[in-house]
Amino acid sequence: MNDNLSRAKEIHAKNVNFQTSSSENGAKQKNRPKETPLKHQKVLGWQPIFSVWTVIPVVFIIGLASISIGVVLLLINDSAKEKIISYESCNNGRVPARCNISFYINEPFESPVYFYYGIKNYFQNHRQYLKSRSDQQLHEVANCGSPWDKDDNMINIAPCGAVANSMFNDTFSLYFPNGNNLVPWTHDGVAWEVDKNMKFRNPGLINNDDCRHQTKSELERLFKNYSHPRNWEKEIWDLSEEEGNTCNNGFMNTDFIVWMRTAALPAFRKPYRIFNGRLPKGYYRLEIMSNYPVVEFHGKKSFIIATTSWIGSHDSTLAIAYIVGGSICLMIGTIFLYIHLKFGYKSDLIGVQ
Amino acid sequence: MTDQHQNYANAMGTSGQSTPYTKRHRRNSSLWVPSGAPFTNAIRSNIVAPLEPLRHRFGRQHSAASEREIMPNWLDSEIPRYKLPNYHKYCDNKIRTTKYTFWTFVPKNLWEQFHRWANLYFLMIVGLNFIPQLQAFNAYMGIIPVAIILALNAIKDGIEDYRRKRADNRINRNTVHVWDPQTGRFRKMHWELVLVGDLIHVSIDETIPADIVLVRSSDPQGTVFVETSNLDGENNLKQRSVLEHCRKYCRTRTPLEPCEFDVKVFVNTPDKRINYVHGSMIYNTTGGTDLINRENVILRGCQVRNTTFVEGIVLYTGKETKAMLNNGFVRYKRSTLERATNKFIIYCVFILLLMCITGGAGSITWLIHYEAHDKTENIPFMVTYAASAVKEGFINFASFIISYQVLIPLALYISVEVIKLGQIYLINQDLDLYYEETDRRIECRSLNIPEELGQIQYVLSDKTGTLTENKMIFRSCAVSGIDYEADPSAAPSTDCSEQEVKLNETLLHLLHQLDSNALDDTNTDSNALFYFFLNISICNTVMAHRKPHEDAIEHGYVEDEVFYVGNSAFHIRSEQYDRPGSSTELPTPMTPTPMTPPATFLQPPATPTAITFSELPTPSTPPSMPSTPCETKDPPTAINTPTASKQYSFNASDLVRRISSLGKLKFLKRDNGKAKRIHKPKTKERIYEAESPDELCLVFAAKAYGFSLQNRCPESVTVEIPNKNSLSGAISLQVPVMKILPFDSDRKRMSIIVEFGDRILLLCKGADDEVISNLSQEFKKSPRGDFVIENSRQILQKYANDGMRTLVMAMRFIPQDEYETWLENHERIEATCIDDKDEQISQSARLIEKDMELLGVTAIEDRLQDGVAETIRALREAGIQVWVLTGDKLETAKNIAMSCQLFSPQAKELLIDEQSDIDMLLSQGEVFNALLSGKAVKLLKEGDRGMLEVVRRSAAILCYRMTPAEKADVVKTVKKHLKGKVLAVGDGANDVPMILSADVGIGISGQEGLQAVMSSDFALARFKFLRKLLLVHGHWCYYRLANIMFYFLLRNAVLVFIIYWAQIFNGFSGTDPLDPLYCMLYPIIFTSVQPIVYGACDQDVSAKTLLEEPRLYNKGRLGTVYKKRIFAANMIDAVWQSLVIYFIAHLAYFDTECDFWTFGFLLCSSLFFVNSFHLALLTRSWTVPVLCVNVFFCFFHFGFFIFYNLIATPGIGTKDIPLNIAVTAMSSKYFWAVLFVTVVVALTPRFVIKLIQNKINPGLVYEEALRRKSRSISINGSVNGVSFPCSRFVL
Repeated sequence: MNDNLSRAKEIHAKNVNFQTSSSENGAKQKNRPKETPLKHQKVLGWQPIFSVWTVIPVVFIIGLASISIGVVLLLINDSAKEKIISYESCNNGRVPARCNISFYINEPFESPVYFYYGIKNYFQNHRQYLKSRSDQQLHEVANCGSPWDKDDNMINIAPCGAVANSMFNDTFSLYFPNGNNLVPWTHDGVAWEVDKNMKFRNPGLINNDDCRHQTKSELERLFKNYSHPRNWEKEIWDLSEEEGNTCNNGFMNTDFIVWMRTAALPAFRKPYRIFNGRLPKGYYRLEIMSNYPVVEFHGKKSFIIATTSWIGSHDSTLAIAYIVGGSICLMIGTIFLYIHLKFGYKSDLIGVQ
Repeated sequence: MTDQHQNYANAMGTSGQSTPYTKRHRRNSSLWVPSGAPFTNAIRSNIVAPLEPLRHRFGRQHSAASEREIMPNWLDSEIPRYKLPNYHKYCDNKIRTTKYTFWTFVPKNLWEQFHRWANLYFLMIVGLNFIPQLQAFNAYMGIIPVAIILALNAIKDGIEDYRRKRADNRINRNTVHVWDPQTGRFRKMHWELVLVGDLIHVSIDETIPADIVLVRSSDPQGTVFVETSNLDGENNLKQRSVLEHCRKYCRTRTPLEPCEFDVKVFVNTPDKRINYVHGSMIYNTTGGTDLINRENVILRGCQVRNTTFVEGIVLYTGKETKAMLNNGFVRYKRSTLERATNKFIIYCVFILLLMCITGGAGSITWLIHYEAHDKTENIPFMVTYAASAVKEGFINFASFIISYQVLIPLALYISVEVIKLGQIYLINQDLDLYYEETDRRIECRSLNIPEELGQIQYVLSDKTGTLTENKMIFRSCAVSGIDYEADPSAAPSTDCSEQEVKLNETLLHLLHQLDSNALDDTNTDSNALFYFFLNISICNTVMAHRKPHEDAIEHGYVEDEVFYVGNSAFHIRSEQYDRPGSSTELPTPMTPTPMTPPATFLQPPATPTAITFSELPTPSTPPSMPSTPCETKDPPTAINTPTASKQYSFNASDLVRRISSLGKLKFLKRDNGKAKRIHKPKTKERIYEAESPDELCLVFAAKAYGFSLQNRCPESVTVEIPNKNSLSGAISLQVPVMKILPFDSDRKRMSIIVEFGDRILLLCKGADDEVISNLSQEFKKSPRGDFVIENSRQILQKYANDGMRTLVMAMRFIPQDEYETWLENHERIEATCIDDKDEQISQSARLIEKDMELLGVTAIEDRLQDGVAETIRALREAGIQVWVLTGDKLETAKNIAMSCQLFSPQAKELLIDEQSDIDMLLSQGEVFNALLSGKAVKLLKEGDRGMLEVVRRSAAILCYRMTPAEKADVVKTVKKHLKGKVLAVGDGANDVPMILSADVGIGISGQEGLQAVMSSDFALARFKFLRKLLLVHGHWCYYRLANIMFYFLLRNAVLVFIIYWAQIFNGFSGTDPLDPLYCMLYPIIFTSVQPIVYGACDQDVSAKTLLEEPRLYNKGRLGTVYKKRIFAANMIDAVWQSLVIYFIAHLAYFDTECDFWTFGFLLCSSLFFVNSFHLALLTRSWTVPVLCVNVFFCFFHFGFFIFYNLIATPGIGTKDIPLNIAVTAMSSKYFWAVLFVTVVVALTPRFVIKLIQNKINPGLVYEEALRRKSRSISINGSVNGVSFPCSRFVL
């Protein structure tokens, strides 16, 4: 009783004190933290609560959506056509060889048609191989310091390194079904513009000169002090036959640039040519000069004719991934439903209490 | 105006005296900054001083002599200070706790950082990068992350060091008065400039800047009181004395003239022994030698108490002072989480080795499979370094170490430290931990253990001052066995404002009827009353002052007709007063100190009629006693001016008038009036200074009952006692003191022996059992004595049950001869120098403190702090076992335990003192509260099984009668035998050992000094703040840190595992498919801020919920998050995520025209988004800032790649420069489709498992959150936050 009374008094006194002190000491309270929600950890936040019951509909919706995306992708992929012609058995794999392969296209390929060569079991992503190049040299003809940078006579090689040395050198010619007309494909647009403009520059073009003014003989003169890579038979200035225009010659040769863009995985295809027209259905003849050995490393070579859909190339992987993912979602949803029916009432009862 | 003054004015920064008074008084501006040798100083402080430790280690000791010779600095006014021999021979007084200086920062910091094994590991990796065969990319780029980490660490160390420097500067810039021979007076100077051999002047309550030997004090006897709590933690006053030959200077009539004070001091070289100084002082002019011992020396860090000023010669300075030599104690606490992390990192090392070994083996197999070395020429993509596949494999093994290095999280340590800083900052900002009344926030002194707060299992608390206010309130007393309980409804007496005293009207009336005539008759109750109150009022160490001690040194001075104060100067015409010599200090109206002319101070203020016993109008009065000249102990301030060599005929008011006549002095007048108001002389009011609040409380109580302590000096005590015969109702009584037997914890009592009339009276005050057991047989046998003792016991019991602190008063008349023999023996002990001197003195005191008569009992209440009961209840609900360790006796302790709800009334209380108690206890099955005695604690300490079992099973534990060492023992025992995390809370010096030995030490910044706070990890203003600190901040910090550390480990593991899977498809050659630059910056830049923000501010539940549901604390207390099992789960998740990231990309881009860097860009993006969404799943509280940070980094990720692809040149060392990769990839829909499916699939298992867990076995916290949510649904019918689409259906 007494205690209560005295305590009540104390509390009262404290309240009075508090009021006066807070008004008086307002200025004195130097250490009082500022009352901002951020500092005081009182920022209003959204606390997501994931419960099975909330998630079940979401999971089902996502699952169904994924499956439908996958199906749509599959359908779209069908609009992208692809014809793969394997030819590593050309002349039983012995090189060099010339092969003629005939094949039939039962549907026309709409414009634009892309041509690729594909290699499998080829490790362009091998660390030592990847490193064996000199971007410096390709840009401003410097000497490089990697293996394969000098030939037997100790003359500097340009382009140096294993990547350039191992450049793919099969050539293809495709003939229309009616007669021996060559498909007039082009290498324009095969290599990235940025590569041609910035990464690969022939000597003498350092100051963004127009490559069209450079003649082949000028190029030859500039590369005189360099030797070609060991495995090459051509000189660097012979990569293209065009005489007056070096925009596709030397370091700026499209096939060279494409090869130098190293592939990510041991199976890859590289763009070869583009045909901005329609390939009608019928029998075609592909003439291959097979120079590149692949048998030693169990490699496979192929020539690919393809058109693209809006999502990209002809590839069902993604569609399959979506369908599989969607199915998993549906499965999970079912599991959740089961769990919810089995355990749900128990834990929801907690909620009700 | 002389040149000297000109210099001085310049030094002050005034522009002459044309407009001096318009400037504000800046006291610092009157500093004496002696012209130094700046260049040599700079060298000394920046280059020589930091190398000092080296010199000590390698070079020879620079002073081999066992003695240092100190020449006085104050004699020659011509030599500049930097040419003094003392300047060169001894270090300066600057203290330096910083590790680095500006010049040594970089090398020394690097040196220290490379002492950490983690940094060495990364340095090794950087080194590996420079081997061409191993190098995956530009070697110099490998330095970037290590450099960033080192730089961040260096910045952190730099900031910490800067804070230390600022603290040092604060100390170094303190001022002290040092004798300046040029101007011939004491001038203020920064501590750091004080030199050995200076004559310094320290005023009351100031801290001593260096170890000094005393040559003068304000006390005429030359005694000085100092508080040494900064040094040894004891906060009782210690007495020091001025050197024998110098004592004459302490009298005001023969002041010390420094220019004639020619001495030479020899002391031993500095060492660590606090209680040992040996030396001598030779007086050159007067002749003679004094030995210097510890009684004459005050050490740095002590504070002058009860003495207006002291003057001394500096012996040791700066780091050579005893305080600094003993100051090597730096504590580094490591949290459990950190230790667990180290373990996890060791597992990571194993995983790393496993990956490297399998990778190396894979490489060898692959090469052999391709017969690569036989037909290199024919395999165009084969570039080999070594002649054989096995050697090649070893090269690859080494290069794997470089690729996988990031599995050991380099950035983790620094990130965690940043997070902890953030957490500490937010804790510091908490308004709920701010105490208005004392204007104190929580003070976080340890920066690296916030998460420990979330794992506390045992809270060990002190009682007094921690649970209670430590504001003593005199409740009631019982004299001669009659209880005079104060009327609780009575208003506290109003005349003493600081202390609340509740009075009992009957007692007050009785006391006013008291007749001082019949004092010698002790057997009556009324006389017992008299002695009882006399005991209360004089048997203590309380000092009484009429006014605060005040040193007049700052009161300005007159020089060459100009009066200076602060930085103002006033002209006075010289003929108006006697020109003083060059050195003067005198009181002036300038400062808010006594304003009236000095003359009035010389007359003692009117007091009640002072009487001695001879004047008592009783026939049996003893012959008159000589009254000791006690008044001089407390002399008027003005006289105490330390070097006031002459009294001036001029007085201050005259001065004011004259200055005013100059027509400039409005403000002076205002100051004058104000000061007068403050210093209106109050004759009755005394200012009491006591060591303990109990004593103060008793003195105030006695005063309220009329026994007012007037004055205390070593020889006598003056008390005002009520007397009905006197006109004013009171007379003044001067009691000569013969001996004081101070309190010690062994005897648990103190006594004072006084001459009372012709008899020798011993008044004793102490703990009940100690006093009652020493009562005289006669008294016990007498009927009155029997009654008194019996009743007193009952009353004591009652008081204790009410939770009061009780003290028993007793008295004894000592026969003259007994006293003399005892005194002789006692003084002999006091004079000796033996190890167990204190013990011997205690023993000796026991000899005289016997055969006493019981006077009465007092009860002091120490009120519980507000919110203590709620806090303890909440902590116990949180599963924390709360122990209270108190020095109080059983009943008081028990009572407090009840009132603070430590003990619930339902549980049985069981007293455990002996082995048998334990056995009996263990046979019972119920819940009980245990009370442990010192013996029981000893058993516990020995690890007695039964005892441990008891402790485990008890609901609450109270240990009573604990000494500081025992408290620490309990803490250590709990840590060792119960394997629990211990938090210790305390407020006083006696809790320091306990606080230091606990995992988390909390100091309550309350009444009793700062030792507890200084040794604590966190300092709180109130006990109740512990609740929020532990339940909310502790919980959050633990939860955040545990989660985020797993996140860090997982993040790095995912990154590394991706690289590992890629090896299968590049011939185990060690190719890193991710962009090397991005890869290196990834943990440091791209995914660092988001987890840091999470770690500092995420909340799994709101503070409100945590406070309302203390059981949620179990999450941290039981360590449910940071476990090996969960580490393993996270690693498995990392494997899954990396598999998904790699293989979806792999399958999507297999046999396509995708180039190396586009593929890498996809992997980087998948990695980034999987990690980001992973963190998003962890984030339990989405606030706008958190969202902004996360969204920003998503854009930053792409932005970085776009920018980097724009500026990439062959020079950066990345082969096949990734020009335009990101933009090209991002413009393809395929990329986004792959990215999306990767993120979804990678996080599905975690999400699903979490959901199932939430459903089947929701955690405590989640369950609570769910419950709250559904409650808010049932109340509102709608949901805040996540929508519950079917909730109404469920309900």
